[in-house]
Amino acid sequence: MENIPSKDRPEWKNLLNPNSNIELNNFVLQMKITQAKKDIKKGKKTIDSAIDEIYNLCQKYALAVKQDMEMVFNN
Amino acid sequence: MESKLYKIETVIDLINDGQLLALAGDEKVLRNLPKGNWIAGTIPYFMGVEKGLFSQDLIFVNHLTNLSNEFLIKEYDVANIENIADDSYENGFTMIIVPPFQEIHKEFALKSKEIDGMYDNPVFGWVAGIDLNSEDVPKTFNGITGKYNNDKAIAVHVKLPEDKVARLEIVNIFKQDVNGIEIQPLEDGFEISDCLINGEKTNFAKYITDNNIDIKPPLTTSYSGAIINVSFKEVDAENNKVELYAPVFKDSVYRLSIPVDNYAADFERNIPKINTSVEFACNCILNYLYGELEGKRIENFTGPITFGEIAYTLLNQTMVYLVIE
Repeated sequence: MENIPSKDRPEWKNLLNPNSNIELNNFVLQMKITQAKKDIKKGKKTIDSAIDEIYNLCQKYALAVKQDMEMVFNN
Repeated sequence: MESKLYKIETVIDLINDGQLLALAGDEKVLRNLPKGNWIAGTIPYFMGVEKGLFSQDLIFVNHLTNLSNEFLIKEYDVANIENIADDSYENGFTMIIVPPFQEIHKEFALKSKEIDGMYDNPVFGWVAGIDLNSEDVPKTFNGITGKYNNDKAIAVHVKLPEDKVARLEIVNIFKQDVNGIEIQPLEDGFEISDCLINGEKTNFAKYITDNNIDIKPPLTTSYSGAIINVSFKEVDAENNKVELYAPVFKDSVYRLSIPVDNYAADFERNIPKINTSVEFACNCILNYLYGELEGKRIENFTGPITFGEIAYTLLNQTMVYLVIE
């Protein structure tokens, strides 16, 4: 499994910032992050719980999200 | 076995052999199948191995047996659709077929994106359809019971071994017209009356009519870079509303899209290089009609031509595909 950057990294919160407009490549990550932003805005989810869920998703699809992780985390 | 169109005799043999199958075909041929481990939806339009075609005799078969022998076939309506992600396996995928223009269709389209756990496994499939020159009613079939419905969705949840993962992708040939107008709906739903166009309250039907806008290309919105299409059904000038084949949401901003000249060529150009086999694919009836795909081939992508595509949510004018890695 590829290493996904630690949940402590500030880029995760930036990814979920409602004003950020980061364009990703992986389809499920695109869908998940857009929905997470909406859920956070509506108060249905906290940023931390959203990061937990997205982190787990990225672990599952580590190879498919590799390009996005490199772009977001400047690796 | 290859996922492709088969004659009914072969499909009956596969069913009687106990295989797990996802089927697409005309109602008249599906009604002649025996009970077994299969789900199906009605549609007589297909992208075959050699070309796009209309057939009321052949059945498109997606073989699922070679992926897993652990599965659950279940019907869904508005009362239990919110459980669809809970019903899936920890690692696997869910394929669902939904009848169009029914409560379950509307409920799924409006709420699926918000279901807890929806993105944990691929949830994909299609909206059943009919011969456009008929008055048939789209249906879904539960092979276990042998019953069919026009108001319930049918799904198969499939478990995958730990060393496999299912990945769902889309191919959208439409690009947003980023220099054009921004459209913000005032309500969630399958129609737009008044909306904000570039921030000003405007009647959308009147705007489209006054500006002679081509409604063959879909409305689009961006989900972190994924372009999600919503197709136009009709501009109802008399009632000042625009009807759509999928819902718009008031918390999203939409744009018109740029018309496409050659659908088949654009699909082939936009399909990424895939190092594994495509286990499932479907494409939209509007692409088939507007792009005149009958008789044309899209390499390596075969499957039903549908009245809506599902990739976690309801999409229009989009190719959806699943790979197992």
